[in-house]
Amino acid sequence: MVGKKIVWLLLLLFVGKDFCQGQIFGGSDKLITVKLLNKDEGNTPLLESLNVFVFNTPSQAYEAAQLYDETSEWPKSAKNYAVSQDGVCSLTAPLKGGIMIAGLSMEKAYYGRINGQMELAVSLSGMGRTVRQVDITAKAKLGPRPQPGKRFGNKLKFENDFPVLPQYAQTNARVVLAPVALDCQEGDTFSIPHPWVMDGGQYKTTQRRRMGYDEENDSLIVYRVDETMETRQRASIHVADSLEKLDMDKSYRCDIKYWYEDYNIVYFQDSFNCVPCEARIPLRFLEFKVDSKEINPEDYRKNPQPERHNQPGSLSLTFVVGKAELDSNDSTNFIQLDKLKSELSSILNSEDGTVQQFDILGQSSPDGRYAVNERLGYDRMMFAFNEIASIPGMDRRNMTKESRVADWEQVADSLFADSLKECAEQVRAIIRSTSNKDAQFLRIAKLPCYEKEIKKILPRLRTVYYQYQYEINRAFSPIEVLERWQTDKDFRSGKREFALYEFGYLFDQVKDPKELEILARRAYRVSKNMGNPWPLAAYHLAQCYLKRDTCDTTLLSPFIRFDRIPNFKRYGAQRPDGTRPVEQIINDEAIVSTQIVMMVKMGNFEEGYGLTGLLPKTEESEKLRKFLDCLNGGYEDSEQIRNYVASTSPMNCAVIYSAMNNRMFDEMAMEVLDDTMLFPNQNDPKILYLKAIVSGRSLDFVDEYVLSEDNTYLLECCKQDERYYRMARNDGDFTEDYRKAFDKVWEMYKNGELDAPGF
Amino acid sequence: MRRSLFLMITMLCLGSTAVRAQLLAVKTDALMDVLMVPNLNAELVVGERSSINASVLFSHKIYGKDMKLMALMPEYRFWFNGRPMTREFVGLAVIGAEYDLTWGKEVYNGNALGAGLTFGYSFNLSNRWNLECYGSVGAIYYDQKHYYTGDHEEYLDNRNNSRGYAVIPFKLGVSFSYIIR
Repeated sequence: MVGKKIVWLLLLLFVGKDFCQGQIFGGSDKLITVKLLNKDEGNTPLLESLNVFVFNTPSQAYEAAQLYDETSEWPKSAKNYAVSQDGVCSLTAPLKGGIMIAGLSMEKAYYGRINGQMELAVSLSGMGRTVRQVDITAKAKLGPRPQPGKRFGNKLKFENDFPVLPQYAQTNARVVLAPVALDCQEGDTFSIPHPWVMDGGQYKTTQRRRMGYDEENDSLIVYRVDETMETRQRASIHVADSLEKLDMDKSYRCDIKYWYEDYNIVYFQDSFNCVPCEARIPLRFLEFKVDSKEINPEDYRKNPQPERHNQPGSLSLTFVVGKAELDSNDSTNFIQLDKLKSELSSILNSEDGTVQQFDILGQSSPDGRYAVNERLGYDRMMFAFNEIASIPGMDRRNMTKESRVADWEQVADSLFADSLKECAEQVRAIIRSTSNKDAQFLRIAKLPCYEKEIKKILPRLRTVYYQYQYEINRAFSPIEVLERWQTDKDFRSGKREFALYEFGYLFDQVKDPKELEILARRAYRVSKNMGNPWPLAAYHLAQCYLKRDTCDTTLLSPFIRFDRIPNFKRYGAQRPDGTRPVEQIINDEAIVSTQIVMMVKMGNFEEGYGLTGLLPKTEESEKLRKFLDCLNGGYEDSEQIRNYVASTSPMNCAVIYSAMNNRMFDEMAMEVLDDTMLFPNQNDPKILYLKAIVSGRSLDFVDEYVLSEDNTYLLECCKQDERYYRMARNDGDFTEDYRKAFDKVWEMYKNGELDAPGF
Repeated sequence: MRRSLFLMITMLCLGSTAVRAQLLAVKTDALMDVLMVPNLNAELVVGERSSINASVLFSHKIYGKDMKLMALMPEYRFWFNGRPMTREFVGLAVIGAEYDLTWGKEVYNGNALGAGLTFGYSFNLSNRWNLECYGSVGAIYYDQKHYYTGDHEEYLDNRNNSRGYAVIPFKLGVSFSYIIR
């Protein structure tokens, strides 16, 4: 008997704990969040001093509300909770209970059922008059309010505080915040920033008690915040990160999905917008200019060196039918041949110039007997060969020769290309039917299109092809090089390429940016193909890009090294004459400064700031360094940077003060902006815009009346320049309420309603 | 009975080597210590929700009384919340005991073998320290000599004269455990 009693006692002991906590049987008090919304203001948080009373049943709440309405006495027996400043009230109540809401601004009290919901959104209307109409709209979104990020160039810094609500906080649980950055224009995912994790105290301890648990394999551990979550205790996770390498023309938002999980299940999950699309751009109006230095071309001049050139071409020579003699009636024969001879002579006559290889191929047309054509092709090739070999200095040992008879397939292809498809098909049919070349000719000659069409094609096939390679060591003069660039279509088209030293001459002489860009790109490609990118070409190409607002930071990066001092010269091997040529200059001031300009244009102030360390220490480079530090957000933490940039101009002073975004600096910014000595033109849109930002921060209550009567800065600014209206609509420096209210003001202004009574 | 105990210990040892080296805790039951019954427990985590606990207790003179007790109690524990050595658990325990107790004028000398259910709760005091409260109830089979002090000598032969079943609370305690990683 005693044993049985003990068994019962133990069972009761075991379940008693849960019973006490109300986990087995329902009806116990739960933590409930009530969010009060102002229905008249578009369900914005209700910022009134109200009290929420909790009752065990809805009928008790009803009776208390009746009593309050009659006597204005607050219920004495009920638990009373105050509503926080953001219109949220956390309370403990039975899920089947009721609540009563009352306050000085309410003539009548509200009462309602909890109805088993742990998150209530209560929408109240008619504040200040009569409140009986109440909607419990839906589950309240319990995430934090979106906080605009701060845009510094192509970087968006953001921070927010995520509240860990008591009703979800458990010591044996983990809350995970998984952010995702989205492109506001396209809606595409831009990046996945790192998550944030808060573990409960017990969760943290007991993770290590798991079978096979190795903390190093827990990928979330590194993102765990130091604070711990404890059961039913409020906590917060400070969310701060930055999105980088953003498109300067786009805006971005960051949403966070979060979930609470215990050892077994995810017991709550939701998402919220952490960072809205409208970002603050605090240094939007900062006056700042960065220029690159001129490069010294002499540092990079290339000496003329024997360079191998590849020169392909063809001669369309007309021969007397059936003979290996040029047709004396066709003057172009002699012009072409003379031009080639002249080119070769100029190479051979130059100092150390040699033609290293000359390949020649003679071709005859396929009409007539094949054996005769074969012989004729050889003779014609030999004719051209002898002509070229006769040039003084040409070495026959470097010449190769070959001859062939064009086949009818080439004729068919030419016919097809000339849209003579039927004739081409007939020729092909004959080729397919017999492989005998003579038989092919006899049958093709009988085709109806032979006389009219095919005979026109045949002269094109009687030609001589050539290709030669040469080396030349004579330095062309800058004028010669420019002349070649201006007159030789092969050089212009890129069919023939300049030597690097020739490009150097052209960089000095060609002023047209488009032409210079073409030359710089070609020179850069040539030098890159040679395995040694040429800084001078890269510099000119970068400058050309900058002139048309394009950036490519990969161009100059090979010539910049962070482990080297400014203008570090790397020397090559000693020359026979004892001098040491400069092989390459690392961190040339001109190149580094051009790279900085590119970084600034791309909004990459952080890397731009890093590059300033490679510039020689001058007053100018120090100024640049401080400005880039400021543009990268350094003004927030460094008083020295703040003061320096503020001292550079009155506008910069106002910009820096307003960027600080706190009451003291706002007052200072307004003082500067109001100073007519500093800003004589008080109607400058920039001044008005900055004033609108600063004064808007001090407004406790924003509506269209306030914005049109008491705070006219933005209206006046937009009246002068409508671009500022578009700017303001996407500017996180104005709250969402402000923007909405101003939209109405602007609409009224556009409709001519602002002069109406009441405004 | 001795052979049974030996078998149980062997099985426990073999079982321990089969599992991967995991979280291991040593503990002592404070209640038993107060009763002057030295005891040592060891618990080995074998799964996300599972652990194996083994208790050994031995006593020669409990409060000066002529009482001898030796018991081994292996136990499988299931942890409800998903982590071992944390919060609620239920255990399936087997017990093997040898005793020689003099209670007033009565003497109980024999062996017992049984099984029972344990219910308990483990508080995490720190990373390495736990406090466990548990109670266990089960059925045992005993085989003993039951006689009175002063019985005639010939009565005290080696034969057991009493055997049977009983439902008893064979475990009740508060343990402090130290986790050896």
